[in-house]
Amino acid sequence: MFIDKDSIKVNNISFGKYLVQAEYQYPKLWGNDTGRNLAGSFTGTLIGVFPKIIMQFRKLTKDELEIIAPILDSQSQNVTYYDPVKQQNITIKTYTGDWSIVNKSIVGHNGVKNEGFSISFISMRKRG
Amino acid sequence: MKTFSDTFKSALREDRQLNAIISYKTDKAFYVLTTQDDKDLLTENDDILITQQGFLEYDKEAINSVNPLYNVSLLKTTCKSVQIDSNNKIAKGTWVNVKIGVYKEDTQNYEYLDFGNYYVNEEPTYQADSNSYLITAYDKMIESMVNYDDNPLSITYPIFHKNFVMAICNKLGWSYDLIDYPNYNKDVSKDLYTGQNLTYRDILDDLNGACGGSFMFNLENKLIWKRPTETNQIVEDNDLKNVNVDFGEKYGKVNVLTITTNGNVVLGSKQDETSIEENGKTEFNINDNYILNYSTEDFIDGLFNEINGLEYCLYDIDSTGLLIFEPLDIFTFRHNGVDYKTIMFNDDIKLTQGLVETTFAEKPEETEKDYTTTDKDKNKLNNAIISLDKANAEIVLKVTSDGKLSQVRLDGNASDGSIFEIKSDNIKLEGYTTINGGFQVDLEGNVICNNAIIKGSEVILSDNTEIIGGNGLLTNLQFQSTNVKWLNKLPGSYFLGYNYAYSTGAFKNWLEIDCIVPKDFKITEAYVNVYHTPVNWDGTRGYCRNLKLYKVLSPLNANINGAYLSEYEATYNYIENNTNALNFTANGTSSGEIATSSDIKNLLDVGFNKFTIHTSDSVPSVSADDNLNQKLGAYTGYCYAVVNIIGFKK
Repeated sequence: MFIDKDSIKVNNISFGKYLVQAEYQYPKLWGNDTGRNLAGSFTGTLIGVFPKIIMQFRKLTKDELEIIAPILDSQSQNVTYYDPVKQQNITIKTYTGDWSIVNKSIVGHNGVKNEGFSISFISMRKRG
Repeated sequence: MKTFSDTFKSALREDRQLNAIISYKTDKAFYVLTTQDDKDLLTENDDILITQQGFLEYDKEAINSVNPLYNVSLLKTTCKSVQIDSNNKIAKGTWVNVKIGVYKEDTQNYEYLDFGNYYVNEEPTYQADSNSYLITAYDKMIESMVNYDDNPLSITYPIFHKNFVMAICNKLGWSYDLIDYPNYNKDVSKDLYTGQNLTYRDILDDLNGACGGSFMFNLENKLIWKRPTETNQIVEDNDLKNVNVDFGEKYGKVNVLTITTNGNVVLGSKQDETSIEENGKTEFNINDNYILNYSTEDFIDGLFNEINGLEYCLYDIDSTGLLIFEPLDIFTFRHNGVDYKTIMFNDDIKLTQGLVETTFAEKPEETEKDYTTTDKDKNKLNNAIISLDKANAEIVLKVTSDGKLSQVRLDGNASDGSIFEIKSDNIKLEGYTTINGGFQVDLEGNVICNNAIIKGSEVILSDNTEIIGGNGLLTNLQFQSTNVKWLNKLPGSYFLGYNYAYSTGAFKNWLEIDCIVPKDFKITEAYVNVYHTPVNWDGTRGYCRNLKLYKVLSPLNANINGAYLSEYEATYNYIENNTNALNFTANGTSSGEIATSSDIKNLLDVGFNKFTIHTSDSVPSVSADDNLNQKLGAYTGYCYAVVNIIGFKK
């Protein structure tokens, strides 16, 4: 939940000012015993909830992108966000999905910026 | 069965959240490892707490999998185990406690079932691919895997079965909670285990085989004895996975118990005829149990009563998780409306990302015994016993019937050499029989000995000496004294005492007996009879005094002097020895007497023997003018003698 401008930090950097949208997903991961039992009912062991935050970035300047890009390309990130179940800020270790940037003109000339893009931050561990 | 709430099973079905807790202690800290975060486990929601007993380390991501399992065989001890895949290394020698729980929505917390305490008896195996450790641990039964002979019990036999089990518990430092199980008060009559290279576990298994059920540890770490126990639990289709579901035939009802050794020698058996007629025969076999081999009769009744009627369904299933059953719990599968009552023998619980519990029940090992060696008459079965005592190298075969006994005992451990002992009213040997190669009995019944041959009525000794047998008889050779008659009409006898000749004066008379002992004549006995009659010497009663028996040495070499037409009598000069076999003085009455010497067989030589009999007194000094009737006649009786030689010709 985005409750203030610093509700999302990645590697201690507040990303709130770069974002136009944050989508919080809470997918469940089920164990390998998941399936149907002999009575035909669904059965399975919930391993846990692995939060996923899809961040929609606004248009970014060259300098702004150069700050963010290394974080997006790193092997893992520490993302702090406000979790409504925990009712507090929690930090999760994440990996990112693929991302891309669209340029429609020379960036930096006449105020041209990188077009906005989105990227997913996916928790490596189940929410504690 | 474990203790659980009414909502546990429903929480476990379908979608669920599970948690496993592995807790253990080291010198440094108390560890709690889980697969899920459980906020109720700790009072503080921190990873590390400091308590009065040291550090508490709480790690909710250390466990990759937990796998408790057990396999139970009836009449054997049970040892549970657990395998843990952990990022933490749990060292050898650590006791771990295992709990598995399910999250319950109604209480918003986990309900845990305790799976007990396990001992890590080997160093964990490092798994490089997952950077984790595979830890295997066992319940307290593992402590009995020590050699008995290295530290044997100090007990006195005979000992009650239950007391024996308790002695083992005391030896190993175990707590126990034992009921009076079948055969608990039967004697283990002697030491069957020393020197057999057994562990205490082996001995417990052997004791278990004599009482049924299974010895195992409960969740309080106490040794108990347990038989199959009804739980009234129903396992339904929504507890089972839709793969690997197999319900087979029913095993039982058991109605025959056989005790065997070597797999095929039947020592004893019992059966329920009524059950066999109704259900068909199902045999349960116990083979090579030390106690039952030695004391079949004492234990078989209690054992049969315990196992008679045992039945359960065979099955092999994967469930989505049951978790509640302990070994030997009886429960029922209900599948497609059909009930399959069965027993929990084998349970394998795998908790990884999910939970799968594999459980199955099989038949005991199939056996078919040869009943031609046993009679279906129940009474006769009880009277045919084979007792084996391997520890003391002894086998006893015994049959009894109406007080009659026939028994063979082989004892390889007797103090005076090995023993083969036969006791029976009649002992019959059939066939050509030999003993030590020197004694043989052929099929016609002839006995041939190295030192004797007995054939028909002949007995031939090893030196070819024949022994009279069959119609043969002992012989009595008799030799009578023959001497010159002094008076007519008195044949074969002689006045024995003194005589008088004008030329020589008084002289002694003697009886002379010549005996011929034939060659190869075996003397069994020899003696001399002297027949004595007193004489009336013109009013003076004469009778013999101090008659002795003398053996003449070299009788053919007597110095005999004579002359024709001489006034002098011929003289004899014998060299003779008193045999001391005779010392006779008549009683002085008018009655005749017979005097008998002692045995003179050792005085007789083969061939010619001469004996004399005369008084040992000196010749009185008399003259012709004396009254010779009184001086000489009074000491002279009327005698003859017979030498008896009893024996046989070889």
